[in-house]
Amino acid sequence: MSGESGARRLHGGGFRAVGNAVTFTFDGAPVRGLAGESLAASLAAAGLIRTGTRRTGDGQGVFCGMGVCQECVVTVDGRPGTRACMTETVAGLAVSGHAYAVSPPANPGVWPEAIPASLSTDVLVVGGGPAGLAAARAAALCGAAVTLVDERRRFGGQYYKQLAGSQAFADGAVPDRQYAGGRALIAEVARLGVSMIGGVTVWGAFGPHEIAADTPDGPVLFAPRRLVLATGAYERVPPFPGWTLPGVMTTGAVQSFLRRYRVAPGRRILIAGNGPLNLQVASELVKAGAAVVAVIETAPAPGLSHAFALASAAFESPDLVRDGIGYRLGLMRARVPVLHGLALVRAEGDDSVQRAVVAKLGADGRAVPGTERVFEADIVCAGYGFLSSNELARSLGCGHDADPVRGVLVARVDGDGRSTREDVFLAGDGAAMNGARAALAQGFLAGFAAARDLGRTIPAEIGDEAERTRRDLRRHLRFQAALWSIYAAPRPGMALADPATPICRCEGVTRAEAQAAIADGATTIGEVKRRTRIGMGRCQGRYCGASVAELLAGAAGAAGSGPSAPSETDVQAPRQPARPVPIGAIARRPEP
Amino acid sequence: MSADADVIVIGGGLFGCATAYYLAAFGLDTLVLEREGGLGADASGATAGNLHLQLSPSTYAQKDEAWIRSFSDTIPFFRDCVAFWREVVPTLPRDVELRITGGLMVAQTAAQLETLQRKTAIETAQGLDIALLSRAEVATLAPYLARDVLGAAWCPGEGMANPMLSVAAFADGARRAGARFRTGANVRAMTRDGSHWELDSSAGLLRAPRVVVAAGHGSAALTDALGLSLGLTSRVIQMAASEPCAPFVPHLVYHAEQRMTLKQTANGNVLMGGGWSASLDGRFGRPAALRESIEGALGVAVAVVPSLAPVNLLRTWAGYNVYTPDGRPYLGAVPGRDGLFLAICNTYGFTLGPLCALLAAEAVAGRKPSHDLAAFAPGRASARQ
Ligand SMILES: Cc1cc2nc3c(=O)[nH]c(=O)nc-3n(C[C@H](O)[C@H](O)[C@H](O)COP(=O)(O)OP(=O)(O)OC[C@H]3O[C@@H](n4cnc5c(N)ncnc54)[C@H](O)[C@@H]3O)c2cc1C
Ligand SMILES: Cc1cc2nc3c(=O)[nH]c(=O)nc-3n(C[C@H](O)[C@H](O)[C@H](O)COP(=O)(O)OP(=O)(O)OC[C@H]3O[C@@H](n4cnc5c(N)ncnc54)[C@H](O)[C@@H]3O)c2cc1C
Ligand code: FES
Repeated sequence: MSGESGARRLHGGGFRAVGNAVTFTFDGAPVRGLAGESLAASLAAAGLIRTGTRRTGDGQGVFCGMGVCQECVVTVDGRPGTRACMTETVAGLAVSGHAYAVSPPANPGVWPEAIPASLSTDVLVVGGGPAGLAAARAAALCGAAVTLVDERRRFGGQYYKQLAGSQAFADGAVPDRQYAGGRALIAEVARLGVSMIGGVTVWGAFGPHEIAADTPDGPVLFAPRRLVLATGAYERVPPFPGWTLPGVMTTGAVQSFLRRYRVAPGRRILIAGNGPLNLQVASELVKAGAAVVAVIETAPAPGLSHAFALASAAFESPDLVRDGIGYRLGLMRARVPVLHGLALVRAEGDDSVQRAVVAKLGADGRAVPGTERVFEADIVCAGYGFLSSNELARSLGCGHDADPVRGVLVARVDGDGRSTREDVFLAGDGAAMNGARAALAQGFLAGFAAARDLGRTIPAEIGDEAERTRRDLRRHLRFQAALWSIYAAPRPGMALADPATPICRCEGVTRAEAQAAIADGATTIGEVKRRTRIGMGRCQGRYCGASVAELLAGAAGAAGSGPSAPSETDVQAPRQPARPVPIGAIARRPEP
Repeated sequence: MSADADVIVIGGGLFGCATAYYLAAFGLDTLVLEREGGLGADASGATAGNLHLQLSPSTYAQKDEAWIRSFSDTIPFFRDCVAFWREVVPTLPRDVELRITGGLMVAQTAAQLETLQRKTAIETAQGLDIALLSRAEVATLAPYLARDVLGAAWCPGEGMANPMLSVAAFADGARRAGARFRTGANVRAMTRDGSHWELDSSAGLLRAPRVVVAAGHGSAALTDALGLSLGLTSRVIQMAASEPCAPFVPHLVYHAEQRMTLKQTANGNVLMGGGWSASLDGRFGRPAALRESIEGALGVAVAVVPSLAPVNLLRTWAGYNVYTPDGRPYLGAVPGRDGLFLAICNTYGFTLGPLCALLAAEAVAGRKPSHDLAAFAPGRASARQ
């Protein structure tokens, strides 16, 4: 299904492949992968960037790399809609490309019912990133019985991404801070007796004590006394022409290919957007021997006006600022251009992406004529900051407030992460985007408070650690504020989308179609959705919600229309399931 | 004080939009008021969109035989309503994915088969085209059904339409004929002021000589405040949708005993409903799906269509379904209340919507009704509690 590709496996650099070479089939043809990596990694390494077909007939493939966008879905051994980025490669799998309308299997005649297990626990932590690991650790240190689940099989989340089972560190290699810190924390949490279950997709939060999940061993209903949600964030990408081409993906998706699987999905990678992650990933790619064509940053180059923010960031977290400088130096040495004040305005290609066009943006948010530059690239990454994965919290009714500047919802929590809903704590990026260190601190405080709620006697040294953590958290939040101000750039919105650009990736609804619905009289997100199917696809509106809100605000002539700030009520109400989940994993034979 | 319109319609669901479509066609200056959610935000956006002709198993389970026999005189009206859908769709300014592909009510036990026999006898007596199919006939007509389906009632006249597009189509048609729509206008109270109704809404005071209450679940509060005792009740019920699938279930499928309606939309999604109870979310009081009901609805669905097991559930949602005491809609003028009209349905309002809306609009416009309205008149005896 794909043309030629520059994807390849990265060798050396302190890593070695340890997964057995295995063969599976994709659309009938044999593909070789490594046991223990994701199907998405095996497919990418084999040059298969286009793995499915959209509603429009165009190709699709990995976009987010982290289980949120649902664009990597394939049919695996007869199970349609299976996320390749979340599924482990195993010898002998029969994988086929996704079609918008999937093929249900032949009628098996009867339905073998799966009976759900019920699991009670003191504290259930959803999400095994820094926040969730820290929460589990704190609650366990206070003597609570803790269950920690993550839909990935490997814990660590985004910041502490761990190597997949297909890879290992070479003898004598020194894992970097993210690998090493994560490994140590995961090991400690396991040592403390936390029940850690990977591969668990929480699809429904029906109440603080009623959490429904699909697990490798079948359906489970968790009945925790306290719930900590540490579900992290996903990357924000504004629509631009060509953004649905296979090979256009988020920066984090490429980071996953690299840091989990040692796969470079392309030979010429361009990274564009806004925020520190782009530089970091570019420099990691270069270090691993992959070719980065350019890094395009919409924020202006750090200059005198940032001196205060830089100094403040350096004061709060000198090591992180040192890292940032290191990334820049590394890219300079490799002669990778880092171009500030420019934006990715278009991606072009036939079956998959071949070129990226970047330009200066005018005050209207559109490309300034004459400033366009074209880069040949077979992978184009876009990353414009993050949005919290807050659907479970919101479906539980935990209160959120709009942050009009960044256009995001922020969870309403107290200093311990206690939400407005009884027995529910929120920590880390899932509550508000504040980076890994704040996530660690918030997780610890939430786990600590949850255990204290349950009447555990708190060991003195844990109480002390909580005190220190509260102080640290204030510092991390100051660092994050400084970092955001260094990267301050106009929030990207709909300005780049052409009439023919799909703004709903899943259902292929274009900007023109959404505008036609508004011209026909639609005045709310719901009405636009009902007329066009916008937001009715697999990602459940995660990537298009802001676009529709902006179009509506523009049509209503809202002052200074542009990206608008969602309020808690006009963001689409979160609906179960939080992730698509097989019907057979939920269904119960009703009492006659 | 001048009027804001000849007629104000409260509610922009299927009933309100379709009523406005006919009022505008009759040349009346019509204004539709709808709350913040926009047109179709309540039942008409949540509905399964099935066009039913068969008596529902839940009616059958809850009521006694005598009630069912007396209610069965609505069967011809349902048939007229579905026929009316076929008539009106070509006149609408956009496609609504109307498909009449037949409905199958399946039985998996001998007792359920017996229920179907009794039911089809009543329906046949009312002139409904319905047949009881044997196990082998079902397997040929609907090979996607579970092996333990013992028989089914087959009603070729049933079908479906896309409810979201239907609301939009009637609204667009009404707009073209000159009707106006205002969203974000929640009507809080209505009073008669001389020759006009004065509506206190979140979009200000609005006046018109005639008002149609087509507010679905919101109708009870408005009519209670006027001292009308309509006996309206409502229940939140939920729906579930699968990922889009290649066409494999062409029919509307229901169950002879358990709550289930199942069908595949034009887009390929399998919609699973059947009136499973939902709840209200704890924060905004919005209808939200219940876990037990999702599990149960999906359970019946896979027990009847086993190929669904590996297919993904994509969405669930819920909405208010409204019930009148005698199971019939309220259509037309309220006796003793000048200028007050009702267009309120008892459940099945998707099937009945367009024709009921025409009847309501005719009453408002003072035209000769194209159908006998006695059974639906707001002052009828059977609706008194
Ligand atoms: C793609 C990406 C890459 C990033 N890379 C970096 C980086 O390199 N350096 C850096 O400083 N910061 C990075 N960040 C920012 C980073 O998210 C945070 O600093 C840090 O990881 C936040 O920790 P957390 O525990 O709040 O969330 P995460 O680390 O994101 O962990 C959340 C976890 O919750 C799980 N989860 C979510 N929903 C469910 C569900 N319904 N059921 C089961 N499990 C669920 C996820 O699988 C995930 O493992 C990245 C963010 C993203 C989105
Ligand atoms: C989940 C579900 C599935 C169903 N499935 C079927 C089916 O398959 N077949 C079938 O025939 N029927 C079905 N029904 C029933 C059918 O959908 C309804 O009877 C029909 O949609 C009612 O339309 P309506 O316009 O009267 O009500 P609604 O669509 O509820 O419209 C009323 C409108 O009035 C507005 N409103 C209320 N109060 C006020 C106020 N004070 N001021 C301003 N506006 C107000 C509301 O916001 C709403 O939009 C189903 C119902 C539900 C809930
Ligand atoms: S790439 Fe797998 S879900 Fe987004």
